[in-house]
Amino acid sequence: MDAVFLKIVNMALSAGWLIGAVLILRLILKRCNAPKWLICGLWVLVAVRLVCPVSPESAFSLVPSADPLPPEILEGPVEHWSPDPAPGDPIQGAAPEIEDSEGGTVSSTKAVYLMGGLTTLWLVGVGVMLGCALWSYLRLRKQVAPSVEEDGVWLCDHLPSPFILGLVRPRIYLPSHLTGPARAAVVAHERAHLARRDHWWKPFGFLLLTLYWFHPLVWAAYLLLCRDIESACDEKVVRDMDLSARKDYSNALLDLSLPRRQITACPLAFGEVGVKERVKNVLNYKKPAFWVVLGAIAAVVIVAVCFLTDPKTPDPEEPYAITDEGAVQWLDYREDPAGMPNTERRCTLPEYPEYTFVWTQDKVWFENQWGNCILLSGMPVYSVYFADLNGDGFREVCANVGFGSGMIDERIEVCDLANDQTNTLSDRGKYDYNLVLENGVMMAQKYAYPKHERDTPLESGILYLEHGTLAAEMAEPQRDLDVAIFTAVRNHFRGAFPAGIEVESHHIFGQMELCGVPKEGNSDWCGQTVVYALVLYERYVYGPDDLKVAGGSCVPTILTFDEHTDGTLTLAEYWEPGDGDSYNKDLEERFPEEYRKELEPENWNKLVEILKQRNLSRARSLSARFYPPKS
Amino acid sequence: MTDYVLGAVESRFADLVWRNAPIASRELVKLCEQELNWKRTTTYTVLKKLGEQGLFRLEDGVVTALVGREDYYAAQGERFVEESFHGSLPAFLAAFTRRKALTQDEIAEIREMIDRAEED
Repeated sequence: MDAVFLKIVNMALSAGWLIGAVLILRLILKRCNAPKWLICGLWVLVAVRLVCPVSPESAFSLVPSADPLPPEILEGPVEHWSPDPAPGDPIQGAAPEIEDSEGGTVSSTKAVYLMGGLTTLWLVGVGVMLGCALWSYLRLRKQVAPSVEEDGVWLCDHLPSPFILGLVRPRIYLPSHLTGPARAAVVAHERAHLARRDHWWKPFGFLLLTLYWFHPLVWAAYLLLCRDIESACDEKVVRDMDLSARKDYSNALLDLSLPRRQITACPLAFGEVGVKERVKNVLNYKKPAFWVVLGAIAAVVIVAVCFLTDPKTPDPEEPYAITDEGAVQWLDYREDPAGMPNTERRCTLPEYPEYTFVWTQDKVWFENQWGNCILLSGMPVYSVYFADLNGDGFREVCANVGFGSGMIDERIEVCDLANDQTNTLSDRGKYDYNLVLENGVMMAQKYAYPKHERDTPLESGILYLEHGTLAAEMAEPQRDLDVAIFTAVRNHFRGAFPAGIEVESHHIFGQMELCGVPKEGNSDWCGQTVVYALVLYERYVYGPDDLKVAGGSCVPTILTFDEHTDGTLTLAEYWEPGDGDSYNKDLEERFPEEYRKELEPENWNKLVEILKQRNLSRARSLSARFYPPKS
Repeated sequence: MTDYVLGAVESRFADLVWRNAPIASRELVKLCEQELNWKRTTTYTVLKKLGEQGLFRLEDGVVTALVGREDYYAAQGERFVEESFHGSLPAFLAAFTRRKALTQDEIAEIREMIDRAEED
């Protein structure tokens, strides 16, 4: 029933435009002395619009939108389709609590309750309208019970006005004191109503009014319809009358005009509406010119085409084929949520040849030849990226998802298609998370809740998926220099090598302390430390017998750290020499000479050997945690 | 006697009652159904309405006329002359005969009426 009411509201909104156009055209047609039956035809268009739930689409449609209120607002909390993330030891970085299952659905529930209430109110209104109509019909029936038939009409005492009552076997009721030319005029008028079947159109119009009782334009349309019906009837009667006959007719109109306006559903009372205008039209009646009739018909057809049809919905676009490798952006409306289209967007990835990914404002799913599968949902889905967060060679679907239009929570969801797993990074009420792509690396930005009130993030870190857990490597300030270097190196090489246990060792050639006075606005900065080191970063995987290196890098590096009053160090600069020809040149520029000497081949090999040993033993001790020994 | 004016339909009903009063209500209902095509409830409704106006009475299932037909129309005539001719019967006659001359029969009838009135 809620859906029915929603459809009614949508139809009412689009019908409103048609009624507006009809009102304007009606005035023009009346001014041009167009035939009155044609003006009634305009109301047929309105009735069609109010009755038909579907309209054909055309390019000429002037209606703003077919469904101003989308059916989705009826949906309550949306189910989250992915399975729970697999349990696993959190390895490093903050792994915030998983969101509770009721998170982010408060506002959509409220919308559902509101709709339910409005639907009930509408039904009550419909009931009231129908009740009033039924009551007045029964009352009239009772009033005309003591009537007597004469020449096909029924005479009744104490009737204020003649009218027609009855749908299937309509009867014309006249006040019993009417005689002579007045009676003839009235009977002719009422017979014309019957010939035009007005005793069906008017109740039908009233029925539409009961459905759309909340729409003021529909009330206006009904009242004007009643007037136009009477005018058309007058026209039909008076068409072949001479002036004196028309004078008699107008006299009868005046004699029988009701003192006050009444809105009635069933009887077509003679003097019900617009007596003054009808008298004018009767006395001044002139047959409409041929070209006026033609022009009027054309105008009606144009209005029909423009307002009875809905605007064309754009065809779904061709899927956008993503060809770039590495972490890529598919779509991102984070900075401009109001610019999100209402339509679907599609793309394909080379590593999933049979899948088409589809995005809508509140869902992301993929389609293949066997069907669809929803990956994630939210209100709305702000952005979707593809990035390989766990190093398995297949990019995961990373999305920035909001709840309650972002007012309740903003989180990151990652769907690992290769392992059929979805993970979430969220902290409802405390932090909001945002996805950004920086230098080809998928990053997460952490904001204090609520994000829309903040300008800058608290932290940002590299997003990664390891051992079934999603986390962002936030650059936490480090105290110890070694730990600081360790963290800086890992962040630097993150995502550059295939998956595996990552380890790092460094040999510090020397370091420089630069003390300083805290700058303005940076009250906790108290200096810098510059470290000259040889860094060995490696990723180990299980070989047939033992751990072996899957990939790595050995580079002379200069790390510059900012010192803070609380003893923490944050990375200010990470410098490496360039490749190829610039390698030596860059080293000469920045590496002090005494340290460069230690990079000579014999010393280099010795150093690297030491660092490799350190790495291997570290990897061994870590491997027990990550890769339980095969038994 | 009230000043109630019977409408055209009510007049037909009243004529039925006057022609057959006193009459059992059940009989009246049957009569109305035949002559006027009225339902039972309709007949009773009209009867009640005219009863309130003091014209008829329904007691113990019998309908009687409190006011006779002649008396009613006489009162109507009186009212008409009162309203339109300030109660002057001669003025009424004058107006009546202005457009149409009296026939010989009518003159004789009127003369008889005048003679009778003189005697009372």
